[in-house]
Amino acid sequence: MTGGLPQSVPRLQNTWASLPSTADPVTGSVMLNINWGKLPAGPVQFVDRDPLSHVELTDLRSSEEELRLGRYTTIAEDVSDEDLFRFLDSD
Amino acid sequence: MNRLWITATFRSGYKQERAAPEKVLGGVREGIRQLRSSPIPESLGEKKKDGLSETRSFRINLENRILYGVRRVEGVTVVALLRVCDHPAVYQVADLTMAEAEFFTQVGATVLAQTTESERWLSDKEAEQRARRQRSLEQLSMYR
Repeated sequence: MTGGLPQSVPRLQNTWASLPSTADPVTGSVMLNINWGKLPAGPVQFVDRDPLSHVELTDLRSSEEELRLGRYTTIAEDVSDEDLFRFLDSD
Repeated sequence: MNRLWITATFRSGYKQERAAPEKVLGGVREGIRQLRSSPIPESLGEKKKDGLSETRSFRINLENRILYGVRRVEGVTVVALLRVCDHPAVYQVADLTMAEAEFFTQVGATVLAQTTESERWLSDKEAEQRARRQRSLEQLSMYR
């Protein structure tokens, strides 16, 4: 992978190391092709949200609401409660 | 601290709770803090049944609940915050949605980490269940 990847991506890749990935060298976003349960494989984008050090996973085929919110968000262990609630209160 | 996995449904519910009285929102935040910091988050909630059998329910107050799940991967405890809502609404969808089910299919294992604390918690739970069964048997024998 090339380009300026967000810092939190390697941490997430460690968790789901088996997922194939390619990185956009310009934006640093990572595109994955994975199976969503019973759905066929589709493109997925990780979006970094510094300075909260967490990664948001967005299914590009989701509804507008899901796209806006992201399907799910992981919050790393070292993120403070203050940053967590700032993130939750940011919608 | 445990790693958190927050679903879009939870964020949407949390947004609604922000309009709730400060006491309720404070309870939701305290629940999140506890689920995040507990070495055994399973011990903080009641296990659900049927379509939600992999989940647990954290009681905020009489009316509000946090529906959550726990997995462990590579020594890290991951807590999924699935839904937050008033009691009837949180169980309105009786099965896991696809986004919620992803957590249980993709992350870690169901087993508790092999720590002394989790073993003690499990053995306490088993002892509690044995005592409850024994009491039921004794009550039954009284009626015979």
